[in-house]
Amino acid sequence: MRCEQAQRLLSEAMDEPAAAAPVQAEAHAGACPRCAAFVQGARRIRRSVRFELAPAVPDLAPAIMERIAAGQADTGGLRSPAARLPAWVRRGAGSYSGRRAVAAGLAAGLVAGFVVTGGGLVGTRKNGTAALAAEIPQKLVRAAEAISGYRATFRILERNWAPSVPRRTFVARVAFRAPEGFRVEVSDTTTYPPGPWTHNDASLVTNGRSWRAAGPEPCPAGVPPPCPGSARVEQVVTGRPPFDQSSPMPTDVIVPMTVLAAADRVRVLGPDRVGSRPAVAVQMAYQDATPLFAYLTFLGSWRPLYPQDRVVVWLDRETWFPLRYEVFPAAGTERARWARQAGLPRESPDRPVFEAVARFVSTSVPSRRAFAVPRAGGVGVSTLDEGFEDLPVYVLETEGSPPRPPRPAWTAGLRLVRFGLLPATESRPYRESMQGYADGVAWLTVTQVTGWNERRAFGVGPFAQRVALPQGTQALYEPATSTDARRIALHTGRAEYLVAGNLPLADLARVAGSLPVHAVAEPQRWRVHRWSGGVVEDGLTVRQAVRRARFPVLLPDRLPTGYRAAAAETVRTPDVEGLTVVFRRPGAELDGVGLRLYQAAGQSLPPPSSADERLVGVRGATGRWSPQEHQLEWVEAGVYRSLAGPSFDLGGMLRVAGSLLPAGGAG
Amino acid sequence: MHEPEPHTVRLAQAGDLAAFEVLVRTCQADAWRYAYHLTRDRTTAEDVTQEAFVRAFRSLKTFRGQSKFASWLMRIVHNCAVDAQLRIRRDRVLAERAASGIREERAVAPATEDRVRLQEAVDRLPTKLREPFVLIEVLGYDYREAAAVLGVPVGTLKSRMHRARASLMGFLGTEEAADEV
Repeated sequence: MRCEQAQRLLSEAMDEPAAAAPVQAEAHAGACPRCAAFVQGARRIRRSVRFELAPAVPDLAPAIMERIAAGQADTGGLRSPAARLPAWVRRGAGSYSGRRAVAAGLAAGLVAGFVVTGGGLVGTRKNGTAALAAEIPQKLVRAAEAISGYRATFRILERNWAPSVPRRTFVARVAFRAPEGFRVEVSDTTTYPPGPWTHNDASLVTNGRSWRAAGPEPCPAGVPPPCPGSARVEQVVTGRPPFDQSSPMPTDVIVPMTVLAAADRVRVLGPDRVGSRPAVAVQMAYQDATPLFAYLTFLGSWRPLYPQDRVVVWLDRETWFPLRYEVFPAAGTERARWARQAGLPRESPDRPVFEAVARFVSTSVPSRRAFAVPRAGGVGVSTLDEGFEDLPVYVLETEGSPPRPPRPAWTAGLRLVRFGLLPATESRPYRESMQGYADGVAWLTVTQVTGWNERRAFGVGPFAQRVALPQGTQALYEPATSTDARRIALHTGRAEYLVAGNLPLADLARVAGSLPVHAVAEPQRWRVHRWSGGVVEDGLTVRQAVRRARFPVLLPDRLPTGYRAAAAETVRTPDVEGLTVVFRRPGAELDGVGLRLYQAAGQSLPPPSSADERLVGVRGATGRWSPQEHQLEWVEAGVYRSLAGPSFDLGGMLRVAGSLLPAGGAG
Repeated sequence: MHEPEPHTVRLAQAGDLAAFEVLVRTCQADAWRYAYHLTRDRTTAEDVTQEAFVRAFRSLKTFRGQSKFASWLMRIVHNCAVDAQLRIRRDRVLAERAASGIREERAVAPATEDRVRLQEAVDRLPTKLREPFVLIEVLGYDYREAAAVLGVPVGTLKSRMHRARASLMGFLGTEEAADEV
């Protein structure tokens, strides 16, 4: 046997272990040094190759799936989902009978990533399912805490932005890296007609300490698109405090912690599917869903949506990520009237005017580089240094002098991620120390304020609700708004404290109650504000305010679901004695107002302030409805009365007005 | 070789994109390694791997299960790598870089001397020998699977593997290879 033939047979035998080398080849190798060296050399190469030729392999799955998603988005477009919706969804709230349960086994576990195919909604309404809407907030928190990273691509369709641009499309790419890395890139993929249209390309990025938003300025109020001249702007914030709400990180698009914080405003429609993903469909009014849109609307021009428009959100049953959400116009003449004034065409309640679909979602953690904030520079850049000075967190964790601000004994499992100071300045003559805690997209901050010199509680407004914390501590609470987080203020003899975050109220209250401080009610003088024209007293309970009134006060016997009295205020001038009661929903009141009932003796109906105000019948009297202000006014028994609430339309307001009873008779 | 579960492949073929991602995660390492050895460049290998999976996704319904899924995929990786190399050749600048031996990964990889020498030896193999060598020695394919990927008869493959081994030993020095064991 020749060497070459023997070596080939020996080589084959290496690759097919089941087939031994022919005896002749083995014999040849035993006697031939050259072939023996070949066998030994081949074995060494094998060992070396398998142990050494294994370079680190990159994880390409997210990029691959994103390309596939983008390819689908580019070629498939958005299917019309309205036709696929089950009839019981299309019909809307009016036809829905009772709160529906959702599928059992809503696990909070996360998947590594998935692509959501377009459309594919299957109406699988089922009875007898187990998890109730009331469970949603806690499930969301568990899901939110589990997220270290997130990447998603949303395909967006907006209808009726302008008469000559009836359909706009966008691709939004969202990335998150816990605790404060957030990035969104909005690309306008609309084909515009000839003209000076401004493409709605915008971006927002933050790494926690810095923040930057860039994009076109919104059209000025009252100026219809294309509103030529809307320049691109760039806003940069440095020295950003932890989870600063004035330079927001709109993470509700990842897990809608603000939107679904309270079950009282969410109607669970039932189990469903989005593509291949099991989902839960929930419905709410647009006014309660605005944080879901904040990742788009931070800059640029977008079509207006009516507060009572219906938003249907399909949440992934495993992760609670919104997979799809659509806005359906509300029915009724009020909405039609509003649409005409806004320059919108007739819009059917069955056809969505806004759709966002997640084409790709992954929980892979993006690189830190993805959240690098570019240096500010150039014309049109507005910069703001908020002045926060980060300190190493171990400073807070180390005992010793100087004294450290107190830490809460319970933080809902969130870990300390940032600590630092906002030194006193001329315009802010008090000093703040802030602790930031986070896990996933769940976060809270604890602020200690020293040198506070104002006669009001720090961080909350005059209608903050008085609450008793678990340990019996007195505190003031305000629900989340579109610009502020839920927050609890505590007053002590030495400092003010503010606990804020996107956790549910019960968790925030427990955190605040675990602070090792002795909180007391704020001084009486903080609640009474005198000026030359009279005196205002705020921070009152409804009972206290009614007792002070010297005219017949009315209070609602029935309130819309979830609303309850938060606080009251009285005002006295030489001519007028007034009383305001604010009703709010505890989780979030995104318009910042809720429902405000004002009554005043000695005051008459003021003259109309806008052309769209109209006369309506209220409680047997002639009143006035101001759609722009969402305010109903009338005079009854010689007392001026008004109800105002941005979330209410005329019908809702008349129902509240109709339930008013003399104080003491109201239930 | 990492072969996904047939059930996962069927789900992906039926349009379940979560299942397709499982296929990606199961096979991406082998796909990238193969692409890397064919293209000799990390970045190009990433591009090739991505492109291969995108092409696989588009033609998933044509996969009839007559071979292993991984083999079918490697065939696509192979084709993508060939396409990428053709593109690179057309790009004069990149060709010049390749000719001057600039390989960015070498500078950063914590490589031992042996590893560098072995890698260089594999890189010196002609493509026809390097392809079966990587499939069989690096990725653990058998002759039948590798033949399916490369589209050549098994006998040809056996011959190429023998020639590849002989060439490598020639590059590395027979004596050195022999005195180790």
